[in-house]
Amino acid sequence: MLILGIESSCDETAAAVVESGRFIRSNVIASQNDLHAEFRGVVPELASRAHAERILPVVRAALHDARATLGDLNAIAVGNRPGLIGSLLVGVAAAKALSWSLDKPLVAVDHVHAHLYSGLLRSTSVHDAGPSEQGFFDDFPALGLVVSGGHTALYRLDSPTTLRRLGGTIDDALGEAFDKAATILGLPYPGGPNLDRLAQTAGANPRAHDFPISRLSPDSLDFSFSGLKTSLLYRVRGLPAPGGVFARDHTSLADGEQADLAASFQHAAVQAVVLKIERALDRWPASEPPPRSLLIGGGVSANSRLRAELARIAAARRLRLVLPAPALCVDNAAMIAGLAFHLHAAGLTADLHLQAMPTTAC
Amino acid sequence: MTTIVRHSRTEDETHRLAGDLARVLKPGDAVLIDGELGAGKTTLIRSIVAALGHDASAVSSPTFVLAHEYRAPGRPTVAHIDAYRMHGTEDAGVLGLESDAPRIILVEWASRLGLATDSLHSSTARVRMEHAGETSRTVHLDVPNTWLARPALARLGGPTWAVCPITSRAVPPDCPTFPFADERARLADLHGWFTGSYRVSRPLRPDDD
Repeated sequence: MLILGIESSCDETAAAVVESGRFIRSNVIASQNDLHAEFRGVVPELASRAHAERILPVVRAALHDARATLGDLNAIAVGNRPGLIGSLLVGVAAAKALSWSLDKPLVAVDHVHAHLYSGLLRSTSVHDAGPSEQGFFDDFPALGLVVSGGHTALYRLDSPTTLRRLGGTIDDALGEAFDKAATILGLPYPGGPNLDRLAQTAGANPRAHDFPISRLSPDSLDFSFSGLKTSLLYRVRGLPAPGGVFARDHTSLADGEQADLAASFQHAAVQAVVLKIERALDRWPASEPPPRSLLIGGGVSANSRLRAELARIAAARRLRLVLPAPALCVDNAAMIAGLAFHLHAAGLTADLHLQAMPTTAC
Repeated sequence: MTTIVRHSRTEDETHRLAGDLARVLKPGDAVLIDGELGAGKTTLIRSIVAALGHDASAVSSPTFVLAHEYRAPGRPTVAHIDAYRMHGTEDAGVLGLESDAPRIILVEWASRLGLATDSLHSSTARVRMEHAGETSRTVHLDVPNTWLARPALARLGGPTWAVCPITSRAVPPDCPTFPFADERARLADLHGWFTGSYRVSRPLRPDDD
């Protein structure tokens, strides 16, 4: 079973061919970073134009790398939500055209759901796989965590295709909080990875500053990072004078202070996530099959402190920790094609009326 | 433009301010919000969206995904746009700011779009949020004069409506004959003065000027 996946939700145009829902035959990503760099941000009308220019070469490259032809494909999958409408439309239109002209089923995939699947993909060939790589259901039920620039949410998954949202951020996503903290500390682009690096420098003390760890109400599984961001702002710039004027900025920080602030911020942000994961595991209904794994997805799963804490929880609770390979943490089409295998098997296919949607259904 | 300045000492007060603003909003309106990191833009929007009858837990910052949309049966559709990562788009149409689609548009970091004021339609308000202390914020609202005809603006702190003393009808603050309902009511009132039917209700005292 070969599925072509297409992803164009934000500023990466991607296509991939995945075999049997697990083995990546090809995974092509054309980033628009260079295009948007000169504007220091995403320009929506440029993004959709760039997707339109790149989609066919990217699909061709994915087929070439997979040594497959259009005729070999069994289904076409596309991420149709959430994202920028103008960008999503390009991928959705390409997938519909391929599905219609090849007379192959069309599968619509939610991008957020697909991130949770990315850790289950393998870059090995189906022929080299051991017997343990064949079963899909050994990891379920699972507790899922998506942490990226745009999303931070916890899910319960009873199978690859059935998930229930347990909680999510009520303000900033974790990746966004890291990026904005990096801006407050005056760190260069890319903010999140630079903050992580600074927090790891020798001598950086994660307990130097006592930042608030958001708990929300006692049984909440939601996240909030904006209070943490604001307290970092006040720690760096002082309290504002009337008129919203601050006396200092990051240039007044003493040596070592920047690293202490980065480490303390990262500590508080990661502890907030740890707290909610522990809470979700503690509240898992005793009458139901216990969770077997932690499924992690999204760009912030590359953060060193988060990875260390997740490994600690998994070991203490005897759960399998499923982390995506670095190339699969970012937006990609392999996760779309992989999850589509299960949606297709469950009969969850789409037709040519499929629409691009700005919001997630998960 | 009419400027309203509100001071809010706590997050609860900001929540109430958002409720007052939500009562004024109608589909087709846009609110462009600016303010420093941590000024409370997303929090303000969450309260507005909740006051419009949507699920507040669906609201989060769209900095990375650029836009969220909130829909619910019988409620006005709300587009929540974040321009933090956008840069100088010349085309307001891309964001739907010019569209006649029946939705309410709320934009964070709006000044990064560099939209010229004259490119905005007549139902666009600007909000500027300032840090004034640890939890207190000063909120400057520039509302278009087309909103003066909306009674709910008074709760937000805008110019208040009057009851016409002649016709007993409610009169919006931008009515040319304010506080009278129309020209006939204004002349009827003037006639009252000319004919001596209005008089001071107590004798004059020496300290009356």
